[in-house]
Amino acid sequence: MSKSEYVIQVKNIVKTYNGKIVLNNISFALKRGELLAILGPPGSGKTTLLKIIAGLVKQDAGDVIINGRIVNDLPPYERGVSLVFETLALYPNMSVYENIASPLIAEKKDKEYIDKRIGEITRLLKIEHILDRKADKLSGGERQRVAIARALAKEAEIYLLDEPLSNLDAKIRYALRTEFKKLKSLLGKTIILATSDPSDALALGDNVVLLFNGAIIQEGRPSDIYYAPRNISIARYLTGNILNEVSISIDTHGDDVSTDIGREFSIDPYFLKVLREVNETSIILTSYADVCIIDKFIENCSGIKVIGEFIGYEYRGSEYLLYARKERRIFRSLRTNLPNVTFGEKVEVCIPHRNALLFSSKTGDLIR
Amino acid sequence: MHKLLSKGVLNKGRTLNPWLMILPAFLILLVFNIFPLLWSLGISFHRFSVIIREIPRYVGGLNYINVITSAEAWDRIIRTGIYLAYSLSFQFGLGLLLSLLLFEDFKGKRILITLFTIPLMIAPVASSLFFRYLFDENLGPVNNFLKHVVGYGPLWFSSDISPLGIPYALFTVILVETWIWTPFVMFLLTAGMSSIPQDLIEQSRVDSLKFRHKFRYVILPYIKPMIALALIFRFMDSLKTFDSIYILTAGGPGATTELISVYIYRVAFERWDFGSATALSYLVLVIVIFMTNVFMRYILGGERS
Amino acid sequence: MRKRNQYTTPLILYRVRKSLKFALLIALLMIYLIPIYGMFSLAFKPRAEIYSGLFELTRITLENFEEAYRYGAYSAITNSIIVTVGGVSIALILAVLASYAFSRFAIKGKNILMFYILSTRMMPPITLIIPIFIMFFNIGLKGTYLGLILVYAMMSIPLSIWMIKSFIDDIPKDIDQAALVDGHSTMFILFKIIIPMVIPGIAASAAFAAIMLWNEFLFALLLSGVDTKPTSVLLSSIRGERGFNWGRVAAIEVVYILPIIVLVFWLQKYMLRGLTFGTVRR
Repeated sequence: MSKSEYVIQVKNIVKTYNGKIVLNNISFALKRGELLAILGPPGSGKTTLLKIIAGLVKQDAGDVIINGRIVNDLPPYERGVSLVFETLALYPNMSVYENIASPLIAEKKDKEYIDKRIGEITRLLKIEHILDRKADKLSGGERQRVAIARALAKEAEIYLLDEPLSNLDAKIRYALRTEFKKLKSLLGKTIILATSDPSDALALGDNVVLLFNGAIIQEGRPSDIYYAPRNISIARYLTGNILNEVSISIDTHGDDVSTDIGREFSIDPYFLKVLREVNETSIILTSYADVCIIDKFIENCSGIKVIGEFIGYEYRGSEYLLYARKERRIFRSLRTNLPNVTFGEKVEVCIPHRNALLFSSKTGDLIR
Repeated sequence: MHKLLSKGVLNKGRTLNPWLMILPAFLILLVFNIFPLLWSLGISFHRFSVIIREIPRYVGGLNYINVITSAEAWDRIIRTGIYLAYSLSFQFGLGLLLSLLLFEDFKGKRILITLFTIPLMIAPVASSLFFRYLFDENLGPVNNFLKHVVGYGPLWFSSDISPLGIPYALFTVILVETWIWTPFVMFLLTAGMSSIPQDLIEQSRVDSLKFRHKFRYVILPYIKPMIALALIFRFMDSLKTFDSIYILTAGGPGATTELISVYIYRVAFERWDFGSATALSYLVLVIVIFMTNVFMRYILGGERS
Repeated sequence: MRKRNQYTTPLILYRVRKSLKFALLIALLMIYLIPIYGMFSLAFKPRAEIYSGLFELTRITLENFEEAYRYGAYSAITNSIIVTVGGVSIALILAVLASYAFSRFAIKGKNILMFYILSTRMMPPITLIIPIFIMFFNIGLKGTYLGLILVYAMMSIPLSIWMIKSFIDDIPKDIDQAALVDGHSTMFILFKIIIPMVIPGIAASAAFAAIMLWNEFLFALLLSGVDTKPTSVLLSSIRGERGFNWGRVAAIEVVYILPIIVLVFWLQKYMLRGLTFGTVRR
């Protein structure tokens, strides 16, 4: 049988629970060694989708094809899948060793092989020292690692990871994500990762599928999604609702441009031309915090510039998130250093046009 | 079908048919519960006595008619009703009092509750037998004490009428049953009260609600389901009361304390009239099912509206 | 908030009321436990002092226990142990299998089956005892350990199924699913993963079933024989005698109820589930 180009294909999956549609016509495909991130808010159907692929939940319609073979009627262990559960589902009464060995014991591997394999994996995940501990006596980060180790112990075609970095505090989470990146390139495995954290998905995925309310609303490379979110709600979701937004109304005949933050703003002539060309009367101009600039004086602003009031900042690991207010709108900017201003002082806010995203305020769809 | 796999997909060869797991337990129930139950129904339509090796004779509903028209059976049913009314009111009254006393948290509350549950768990045969000693009419410690204090000790196991208007023997049975079962009511009500949100309790303190109002609006809504549950359990079990009566009075003197289950036992194993006994026990079963439904509707249904 | 309460009702009144409540509670407890105390005190009393007052225990003697032994208490207790352990063991093995199936598999008619099992709790035993009596009488099981053990298994299976199921239901289903993905068989999942997680629950269920059987009287009265009669039947037979020795009775009772009292302290955590057939959890 000729091997398919794809390790896994999911075709037109539909799933309903008690008449409510949980997954609506889901399709995607994944090549060997790729990592696909399924990104969506909690309750969007990610877990159900992974369980359908694993064979733990039966779809109402559609096919799951692994290595060119339709596996719809195969039990989980014959599908060549391995799964890290969102709840981790470690066997609490067993030791770490027994947990990781579990899939190997089920495959009736000999002791020598099991020891060798566990040795490799635990070294990789840096958990060799806790092999004898019982699974219910572990810290959150250790539990996460053990769950990943158990999934990796199994020789599978495809590894499914359901929120592998959730339920961890920010510091461990960040460390584990970096480590995971290394691990991914080291292992060269085919992975589907479900997450509700955009930064996880964008940082780790070769491709990202955005799942909202059981339907795929956008898919593509992380940069495509990040720099061209199909509509404004995706953009808001990707930034965790700290998107900078300005509504702009353009009078197509005259020169009159008005915004929802008053009339005191300056606009780059080139940018104004761009806005005119869009041919929409009402636009939402948005920019991510790392693009927006907040400073005492901004000399060249190649976009729209307003004067606001500096209202505070918070320190985020290596960067500062600055807040400024104009009218009732809050602007946020991610900078590596603090500007020389005090709270309540006037600051200039610049949204450069180059990386700004324009959405139609009628439909919310991306214009440019 | 494995629920975890939804329908259709099974770990082939490794998944056991769930029916096979249920089967052994079900077989035991089939042979020793369902089968006797049906057989019992069959017997109730026959005239039948093992003692004279009589061949069972089909008599239709005759046993039921006999039972329903029997003054004796009605007398026992009325006695059981009186017993139920007193016994359940005592148990619920005292149980509620205890659970209210245990409402607030204090050190050692758990151990106190544990001590209260001991009578519930020990054999009714053992406790009832000991109560015979305690209430012994001539030399028992209770009458000993009463004679010293009030100069008079009642005949606890006689058919003399007690101040409650029922014979002393019945009163003693009720007393012992109350001793055994009050902790059950107390325990369930305490559990219900512990589900009241702490905020609500504190709010009622701040508002310094009168106890009457606090009970009506704060406590009662939360213990209602538990009251229903306790009532269902206690009603069912009270109809079954056998051990304590058998030990305390054996139904006597005369038929003073011959409640329904003791009566059925006597009809079956002293008169060897299995037909009437099974007919009666089926009537009791119907009453239990009917009353359980009434309690559930009345208390849990009233909650909804 | 508490403070405010103390100011709205005068502090002294609040304290008095509180201590009065506590005093009442303790008084009720004392009255409540007198019979238990009495049983123990009587068991250790010399025969001559039996009616001399419950609380005076001037001299401790074991003569009542010696007499109880001679009276046949030893064999009755042994019989109780045999039928209880036998009944509980059978019930436990079968109930564990069934409750796992009920908890984790989609079975047609499951609700009806579970309701039937619950409804056995409602049935007056007197309904069952006549046919079982005839059955055992005819096939020679009357008076044997086996007969009583089988009936006891039937009696404790429903309680065990409901209780053990309630404990298994508390385990997240992801655990089973993880084991399915690993490729384990149902029996492996049940015995190596699920059961070890609910050992305390199974032990509590077994204890509740054991208490029920240990205390059982009606079936034992009708189905046991001279050599197989358990303690409850032995105690009831004393009742018919004239002028019997109360010290001896108390001694038997003490041996009979002591294990239960010890169990009650351990079972406190599971009491609500035990009393309500596992239908109410906390």
